[in-house]
Amino acid sequence: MQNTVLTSGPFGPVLAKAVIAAAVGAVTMTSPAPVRAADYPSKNIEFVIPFSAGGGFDRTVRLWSPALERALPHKVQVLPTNVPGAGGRKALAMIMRAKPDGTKIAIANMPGAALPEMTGEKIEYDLDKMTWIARLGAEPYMVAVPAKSSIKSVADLKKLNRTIKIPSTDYGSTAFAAGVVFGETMGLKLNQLTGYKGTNDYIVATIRGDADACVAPVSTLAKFIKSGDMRGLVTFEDKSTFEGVPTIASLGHPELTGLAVERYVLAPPKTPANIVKVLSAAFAKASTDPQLIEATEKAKEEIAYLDADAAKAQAEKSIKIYEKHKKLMGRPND
Amino acid sequence: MPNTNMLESTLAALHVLFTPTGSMFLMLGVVVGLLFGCMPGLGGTTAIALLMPLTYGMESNEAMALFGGIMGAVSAGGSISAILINTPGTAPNAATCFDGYPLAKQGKAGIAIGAASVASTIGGIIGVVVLVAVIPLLKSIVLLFGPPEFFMMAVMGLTAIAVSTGGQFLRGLIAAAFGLILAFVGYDSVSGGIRFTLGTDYLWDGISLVPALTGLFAISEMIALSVSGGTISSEAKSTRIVSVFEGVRAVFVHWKTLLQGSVIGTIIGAIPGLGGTVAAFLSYTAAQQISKHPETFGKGNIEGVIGPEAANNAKDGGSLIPTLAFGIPGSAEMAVFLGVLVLHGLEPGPMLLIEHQGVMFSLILALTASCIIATLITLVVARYLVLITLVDVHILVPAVIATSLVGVYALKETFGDVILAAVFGIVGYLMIRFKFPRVTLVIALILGGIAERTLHQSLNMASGDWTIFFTRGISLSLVIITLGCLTIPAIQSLRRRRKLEEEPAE
Repeated sequence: MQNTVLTSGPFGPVLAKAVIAAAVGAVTMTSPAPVRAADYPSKNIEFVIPFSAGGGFDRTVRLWSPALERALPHKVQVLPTNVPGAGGRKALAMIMRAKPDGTKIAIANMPGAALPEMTGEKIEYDLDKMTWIARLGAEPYMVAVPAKSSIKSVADLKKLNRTIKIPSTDYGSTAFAAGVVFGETMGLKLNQLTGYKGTNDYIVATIRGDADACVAPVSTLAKFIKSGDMRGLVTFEDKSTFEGVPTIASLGHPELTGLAVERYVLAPPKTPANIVKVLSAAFAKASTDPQLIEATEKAKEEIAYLDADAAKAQAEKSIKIYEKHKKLMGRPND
Repeated sequence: MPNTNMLESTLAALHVLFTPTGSMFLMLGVVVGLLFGCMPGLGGTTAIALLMPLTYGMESNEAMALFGGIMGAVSAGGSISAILINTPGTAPNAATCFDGYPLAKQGKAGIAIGAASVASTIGGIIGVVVLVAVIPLLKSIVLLFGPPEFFMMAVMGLTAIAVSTGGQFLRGLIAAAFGLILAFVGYDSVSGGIRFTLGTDYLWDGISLVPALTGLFAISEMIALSVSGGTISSEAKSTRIVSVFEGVRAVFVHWKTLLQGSVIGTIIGAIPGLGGTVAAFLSYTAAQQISKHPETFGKGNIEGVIGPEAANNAKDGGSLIPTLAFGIPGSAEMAVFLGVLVLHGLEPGPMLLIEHQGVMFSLILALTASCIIATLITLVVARYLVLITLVDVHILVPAVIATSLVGVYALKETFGDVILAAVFGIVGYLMIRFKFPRVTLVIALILGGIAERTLHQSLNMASGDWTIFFTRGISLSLVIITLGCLTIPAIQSLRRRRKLEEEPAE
């Protein structure tokens, strides 16, 4: 009879030793040393991105991280870390439970992060309890169609007299919510196609014809407009970046001006005040960093910095716009 | 894109590669790629993620040389451990184990390594050649594939399961069903709900593929090895350099398998979400189908090494197609690599190739060069690597398990990944013991999620109309191919049986 799993012999001790060795190795790597608030920052800071690489939030964090490093009082690394999952909720849940020692901060998608709570879902994080650090940017949205589409204006969309297909990544995204707001305001019936992996993906889907139009940040759409693949239909900016694209105000709905995806920096709840002060000051200084300004200009991103208190106030204001339409914000495909 | 422009860019990129720093970074990338590739648990994505911050401030062309070097060498490194210790260094090398390891046990590891290396090189080159050839058509190609096409590709991949069960049809299906259940764990972005996460948020993103595969193939094999004891190979026949060249020659003898593997790899690589693992398995199945001796697969048929290895390198060229066309990553490595592009101020999107053609050509060239250099290095050290098969398992097993678990942890610094790998290690060992094929579980795990998501997306797009799969040209072709894949083996076996019946009894 051959050796089986159950017999002792070379199998048991060797394997057990190996697993224990590996486990001990892994555990020692995970146990962090405590840090005194006065020396902050003394350890590297993880700047968590709730989405996968290549998208707008990823870009923002990677642009800001070097500037933040330069602005901090002590030399540490700021490490962009992608933690995608559950439409961004996974990363925020992680921050909710992380140690309030300033080693983990996250960029948050607003008002997307507030949507689940708005629609009555039980979520694992509480935006009120989180520590607000700053707002880094606000990217106004634009509605766009494929360049070769026969739709030339919002009026054309209405004339189609059918459900309009609009893609997004998932129902918890700000783009989805913006779509709802746009649809309801303009009197359009929408079929929201969720499930795309990222903004680039659903813009390409629109070019392909999976959808009629899409709602995306101006900066992300810019490269598709420049390449000749997409055309702007209406923009939610104050002033249109692209010639020939009307602002939402000029179409009679100035209340939607400023519909944007905003990027906020959050820290775990109960983060000590002096750590918040250091971080806020660093972000403020970083926002004037000439290298950051040059890089964001090249990436067509705008710096729209707000300090901690102003950030929280602005976030609440933005949420209110979406709350008006919250009836339609629920899961689309029940 | 005008041809002179491309030629200029290629020459400029070549110029960079031949500078001392350029070639230094390329060599560094190749070595890192080989090392990370051959250590189970680590892989291309980890290598790129770890080296990314170090390249901040580097010149873009040199960064491309580094990362191109890594990407081209990883699966070559992975084939080494797949062949020698039945433990794929990276998931796409899993198919190489099926025939590579039996060859090693027969003392023919040198032949296997020789064949794997050269197949990798040629597959990789073909992938890049196709990429460059279709550059004017990049966008059109990406636009051809939407959710209905993705769904049909996933279904086609899932039917490969039915054909790959290797004689254990029922168990293969059970394993596949289990794989599907695992695929549905996590957040579903179509309906916005979280499923089967056992109350933890570790599983929110579903079952993490790399830890699961590391456990399923690497750790389970180590458990199996330690149970059987001894050494992997009983003879040192293949440590002679001649057998390595025999492997090289085999690649050219079986050029049809090589070509088929490369084409499959390129196409699958070009479809976002499928990745090298699917490419390798599909190529293995396809190689078996065109082989004159399909019954020898799994027992040490060199074609079973050539096909998958060509595919998992060809996919690198293919995965650049959607990446360069629209900034949509064609594979897991590409997804991480997008972060590198952003870091260097190169925004992924349709303008990338237009605005930064030179840098992109540096990448393509580095990728090609890396395929070649990695193989040369492997061939040179092959005879020493083969000695691993003579090492006693009591030393080998703990080393491999420890490296795998540490490597899995290095991915995301989450202990949950380590636990997942360990759990799958045990599951995998039980599957080996009770003869359940692990291949089918893996294919179902990878494709299940894609299939479900794209099915829902397609139906949403069509407002519930099922005929969408039949009214789109490519989707319809895929339906036909899938039906063909399902029925052809049945027809073939019928024909074979009939031929046997017609022959006079001995």
